[in-house]
Amino acid sequence: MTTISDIALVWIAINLEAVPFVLLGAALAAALETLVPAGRLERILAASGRAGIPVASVLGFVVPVCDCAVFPVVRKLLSKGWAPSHATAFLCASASLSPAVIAATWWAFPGDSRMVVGRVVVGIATGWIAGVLVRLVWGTASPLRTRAQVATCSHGHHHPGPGECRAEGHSHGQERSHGRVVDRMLAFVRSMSGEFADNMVYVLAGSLIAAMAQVLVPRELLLSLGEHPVLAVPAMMALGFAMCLCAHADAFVAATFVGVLPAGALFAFMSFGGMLDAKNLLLWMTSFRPKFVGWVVLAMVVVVLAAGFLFPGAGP
Amino acid sequence: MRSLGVWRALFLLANALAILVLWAYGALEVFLNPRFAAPLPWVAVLLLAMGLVELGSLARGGADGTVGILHVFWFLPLVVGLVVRPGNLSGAFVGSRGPTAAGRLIATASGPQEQTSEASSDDFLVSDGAVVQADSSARVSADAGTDSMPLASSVSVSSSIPSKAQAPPVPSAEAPSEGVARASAWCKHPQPPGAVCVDTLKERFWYGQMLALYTEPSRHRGRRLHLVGMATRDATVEPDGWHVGRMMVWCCAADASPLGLHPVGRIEGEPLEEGRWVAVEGILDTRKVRLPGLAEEREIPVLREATATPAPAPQMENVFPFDY
Repeated sequence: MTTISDIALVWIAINLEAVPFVLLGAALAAALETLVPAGRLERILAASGRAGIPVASVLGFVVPVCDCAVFPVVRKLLSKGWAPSHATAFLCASASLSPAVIAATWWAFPGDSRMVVGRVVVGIATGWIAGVLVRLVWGTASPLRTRAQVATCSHGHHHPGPGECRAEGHSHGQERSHGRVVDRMLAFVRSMSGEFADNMVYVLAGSLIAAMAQVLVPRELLLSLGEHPVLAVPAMMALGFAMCLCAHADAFVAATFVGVLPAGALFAFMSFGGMLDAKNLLLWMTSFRPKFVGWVVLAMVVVVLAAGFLFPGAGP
Repeated sequence: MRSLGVWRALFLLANALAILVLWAYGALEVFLNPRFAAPLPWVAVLLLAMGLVELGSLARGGADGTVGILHVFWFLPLVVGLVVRPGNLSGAFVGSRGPTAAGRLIATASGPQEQTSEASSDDFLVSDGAVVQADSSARVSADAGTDSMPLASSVSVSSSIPSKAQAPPVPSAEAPSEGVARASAWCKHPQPPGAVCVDTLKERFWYGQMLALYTEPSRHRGRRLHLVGMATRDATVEPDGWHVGRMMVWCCAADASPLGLHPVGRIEGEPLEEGRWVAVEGILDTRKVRLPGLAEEREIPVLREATATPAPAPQMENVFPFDY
């Protein structure tokens, strides 16, 4: 009984923490959908040529999204025709570059610039490498699943199911072109609730897995793996993936292991957990093609793994 | 009710109400650090509005997607929350977390522990500044870092704290020579002969006081300490040892880690029991222990000659690393 209570508590806690950020992502995606004049976004996205990957991998500095919020935005931009390689770069890098995440990392490791600088550098590098990898092996085909691809419907309001296009009973097609402000606001709100509600399904499902892993898998086991010189980095990455911490929080949790585990393993925990965790992966799997997810995750794992092993200074 | 839109609207409204109820009862802090809980009432109001808009547009007609099995997750947290009523983390969970928070605290005090490092004295002042001045008018240097935290909003946070947590600081305390800011945080140490002043660790300042104890354990040796915490088995100091502490929540309950002290030797009074709340009073001493992964031994504070008395679980069981 106490086990169930613990799982419930951790589960609800992760979601309460994620809600504001998922809402932020939904708001950004809805704004892209309904407030940006039709056609303009598509033209901008199509115009981003060679510089696309480098620009997309540092876009996170100015677009304040963390790992929960980035997904709906990326999905929206992909459905508008953004190149998969550019979208991948943004998807991988932005969570590590969000100003709030940088501030949290700085605060969690006072006087240790390796963590902050490392996080930013590795974030950008992951975005860049994953973007290039996707361009090489995936090309320009849309990584969205077919159901999600329908999202580019013309009236584009509300996409139940991840990105699915809803047949509205009343005509929205008119509102966009000569819509009154009220109608546009309503369309924005409805688009936002659709994005939010659809994403929350998978956040809730993924975080349940994380909560069960947290309570049922003894942390001592992973920590004892963490003492192993070679297994430390992958073990801590697995822990970061399974714990489903907010990108704002994982630096603090990493800080609780300072002196207990090597700095490289801590860095890998923080960095990887901020980019990808169980709930995000579930979210991605529902909208992206499995092969695409496979390539992106591979790039993330390889870069963070390398960074963990090469991390300067072997602990304090 | 086949329409997804109805369920979506219900999801938004029900969860908004659930968040508002948790907030009204001051129960958000069971799950979250108050700093991260601060935006949630506003989020709930927004969700409420979104749900109403959704309902309104449904009333105007409009079909939409179909309900899938995964949509159960929209309502599962509410059902689980109502059925299970998760009060606080259990002793088993607390015990499984190990002495990681202590490890961090020790590691923060860089260099030899006997020296007063720059970082530790700053942190010391933060906690003590908070003791003296509950509002923000007397912020000290290191507090600037706190303000850069995302979602920081100390004004709205403090209004949602249960009134118990706002109890005045220990009145019997006296100012040591270091400065005004430390005035009411600790008893004078070492104490003049005959005087008995007990340092009571308060939930509000738990982190700051623990930080001071863990960064400079030898400096506080001999203090008489009183704390209320959850007892868990912990072999860090002694093979059959105990740990009495609180769960410290950085962000949400998923990152909670125990933070407290180890009573050593014979414990008088109530026998300790895994997961039970106890009040422990004892004399602060230090022990050299080997923490996992650390080559050399570190000195950590322990309680000797401890006496345990049963204590009810406090209203707010978690402690948070910021003054709130």
